[in-house]
Amino acid sequence: MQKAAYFDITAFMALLSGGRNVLSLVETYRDFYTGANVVAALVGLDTYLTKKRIFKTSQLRSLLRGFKILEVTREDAEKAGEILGRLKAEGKDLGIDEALVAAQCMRRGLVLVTNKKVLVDFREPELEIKQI
Amino acid sequence: MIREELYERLKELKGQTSFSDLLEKLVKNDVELRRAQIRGFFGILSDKASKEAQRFLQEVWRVAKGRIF
Repeated sequence: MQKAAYFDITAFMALLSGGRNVLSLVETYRDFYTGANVVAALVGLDTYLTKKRIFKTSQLRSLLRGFKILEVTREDAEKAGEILGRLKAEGKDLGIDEALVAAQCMRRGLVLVTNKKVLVDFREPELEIKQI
Repeated sequence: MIREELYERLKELKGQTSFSDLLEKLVKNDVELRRAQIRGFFGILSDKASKEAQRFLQEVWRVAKGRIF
């Protein structure tokens, strides 16, 4: 059975901007997840674009209804901490936000759909990344 | 534990099939509805809106990265 996918903010931007291959990804995955940070960013963006009169009415909230929202558990946070510490010891940097997303995907077997260079370059056998 | 009235409703919905078949169908319908919802947002941002959105998001993430306390 096809895996479920986690869309980060760059995946949402690719979808909204009509990026190549995004539609085929939407057809591919078994289910769709995202995180609370993406919800906050998209609702913020929706509010901002409406205030700026670029959007006539609020639009992006209903897009979020297509996604299940993952909560961060203690185990996710611990896994993220292990990733951060290990990478730092290897002289590599990853933000807390990015480490939490990676940990959530790894622990649940989700494919991380992203265009963030730092995540695309993050080679981890347990984490499947789909670059868009 | 499932509520009695919900159990009766599900039993009615399943008809001659099994509860497993019914639940599988409900889950599939839920995903397909959400997939259609996501599909409907493909390419909705104009070039102007897309650039403005990128500026907004970059600023939000930049501020978050630079601050500890």
